[in-house]
Amino acid sequence: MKIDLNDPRITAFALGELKGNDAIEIARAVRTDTRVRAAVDEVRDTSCMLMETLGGNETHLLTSEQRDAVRGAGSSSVITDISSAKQSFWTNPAVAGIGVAAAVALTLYIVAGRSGSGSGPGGDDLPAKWDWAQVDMDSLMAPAVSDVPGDVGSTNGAKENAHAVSAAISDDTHSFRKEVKQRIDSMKEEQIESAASLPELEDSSKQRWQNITGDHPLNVPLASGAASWPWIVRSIEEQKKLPPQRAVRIEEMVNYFRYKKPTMISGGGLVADMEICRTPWNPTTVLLAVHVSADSASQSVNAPAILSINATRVQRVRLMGYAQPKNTPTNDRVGRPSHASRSHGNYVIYELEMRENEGSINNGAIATLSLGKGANTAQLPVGRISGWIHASSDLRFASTVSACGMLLNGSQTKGELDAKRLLSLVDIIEKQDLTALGGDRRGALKIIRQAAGLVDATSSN
Amino acid sequence: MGDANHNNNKLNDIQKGNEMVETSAELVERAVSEFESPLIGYAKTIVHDLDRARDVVQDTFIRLYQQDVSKVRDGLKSWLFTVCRNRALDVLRKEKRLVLVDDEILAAEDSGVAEPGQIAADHERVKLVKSYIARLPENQATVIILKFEKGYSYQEISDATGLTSGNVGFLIHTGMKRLRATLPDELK
Repeated sequence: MKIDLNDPRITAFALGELKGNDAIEIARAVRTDTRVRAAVDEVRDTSCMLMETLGGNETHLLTSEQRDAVRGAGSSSVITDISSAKQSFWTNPAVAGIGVAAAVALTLYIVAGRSGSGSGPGGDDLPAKWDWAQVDMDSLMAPAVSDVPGDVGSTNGAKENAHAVSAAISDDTHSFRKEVKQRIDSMKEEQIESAASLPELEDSSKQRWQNITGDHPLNVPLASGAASWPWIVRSIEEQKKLPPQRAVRIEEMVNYFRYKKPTMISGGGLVADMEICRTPWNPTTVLLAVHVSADSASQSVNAPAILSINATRVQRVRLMGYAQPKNTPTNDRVGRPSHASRSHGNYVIYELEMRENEGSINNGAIATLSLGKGANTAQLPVGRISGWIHASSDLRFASTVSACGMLLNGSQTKGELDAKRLLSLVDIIEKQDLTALGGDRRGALKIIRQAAGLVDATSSN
Repeated sequence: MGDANHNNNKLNDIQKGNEMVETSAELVERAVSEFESPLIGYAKTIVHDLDRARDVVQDTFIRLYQQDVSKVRDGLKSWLFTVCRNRALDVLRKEKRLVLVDDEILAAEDSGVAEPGQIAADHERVKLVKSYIARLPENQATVIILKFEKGYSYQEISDATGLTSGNVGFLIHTGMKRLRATLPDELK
């Protein structure tokens, strides 16, 4: 029987107040009807917030991917516990014992061809759970690349690994991130200081600008790595030192944190939001934020996210972060292709240098984001530039984290940004976004303050 | 509603001969809805780490699938807390953390002392949320405050207000829906 979303039993069920047949009926609907499931999860999230805020109780729920894993486990004929359900990454038939081309094809298939969010390796319905403990350090710590998936790696073996790891991360992002953090947390101080286990990056301080001359489609990166923020935290908090430059990856710093789920546009298995604001450290540029995520209502991601910049309004563009590993004859370390995660969105910031006489909206949108392909392409134009102070709390926060990254890697394109300016951004966020500051963000601002202090002290020495 | 009510409802269902057959998946869904947060809180008191506590609870729910529904449904709460406790202890044993829990971490967790900035932020947040609740019709605002600030069950709210339990459920459902529609995104 189809349950009406106005049925008060949905709320009662989510609050644990429903018993007997009513509870069974709603539980059944949760299992079979995605609308009811979404409604129940929504009530749970709101009730968690209300209990924490009004009741003063620490209230914790499973993460959405853990909840999906629990639900997915019920679809399997054989249930195993978490540890035994873990699949060794390297024993995945898509990776082991097959040729390079087949491995790439199969691992890509895992990303593109898997049906449903709960299905796992091997075609059954177990939630994907990879045994990250077996993955080598280089693969875990590699940065994601910003280019089209496929254009990575200097050797076939390296490419194969990069694709396979990327596919596994897409399936099981939560565990991947946890493993990376645990490895970094367990490193010795000298390992943190030398950062020898991280690849040397192309000079990230230069942050390449690209001139916009005509139609200029950019492939929006769909994922990022996870090593940078935990590394920076250890350097700053424990060692009271600036982190090594190769540990500063702006895209990973930004995406260590979660942002509001995108809703503005959907297509090609993706959903996305877009927003533009003035750059608080450069009066001649604006910040364009694209938040893209796998669409939970879709079976797979089957098209890239393409950003087109309007050349009549924008002179130059640069992607913040995504510096690539240095390409040297002895360096076989490669970036990872950017496959969309099933559970985590990717928040990407571009800095746009506007043309002097661009001022008019009559010249069209500043940028247009396209999702999907062919006749099914969905487009989201964006033209209105808000002041930084009026931007969303997500963009204010993400841009402040990016600014911190620019200071830490000694960016040469930082405009008027210095430690003092960074601290003023943190002040504004703490004052303006009090209600949006969860524990993670509050802790991050504390680290950013410490980073600004260290940068200031270093520059005055 | 407590176990007594549950048993009454169950008795009524059986007497009417219309008790639904519950599958293990439905039992797990119901268990998640009722015990997810209390179980995580309980596991956290043992493993002293939120991520590990969540993993333990996830594992507990997955293990529930393996049980015979008819055998565990009546003692569901006690089954869940027992398995959760055992799993949490397993985790500690595996990680050899039984005697190695960091005293400083424990002290920090137990002290409950928040920084002044955080206290101000929390006050501000409470004020803001209450301002949105105050915009609801009075009866909806009342039941929401009783539910989330006082921690009352539907039955206790019914006892305190004289409303029927069904009315309480309807008012909370409608009130929360309205609240979600008006709350700023960062509070949802």
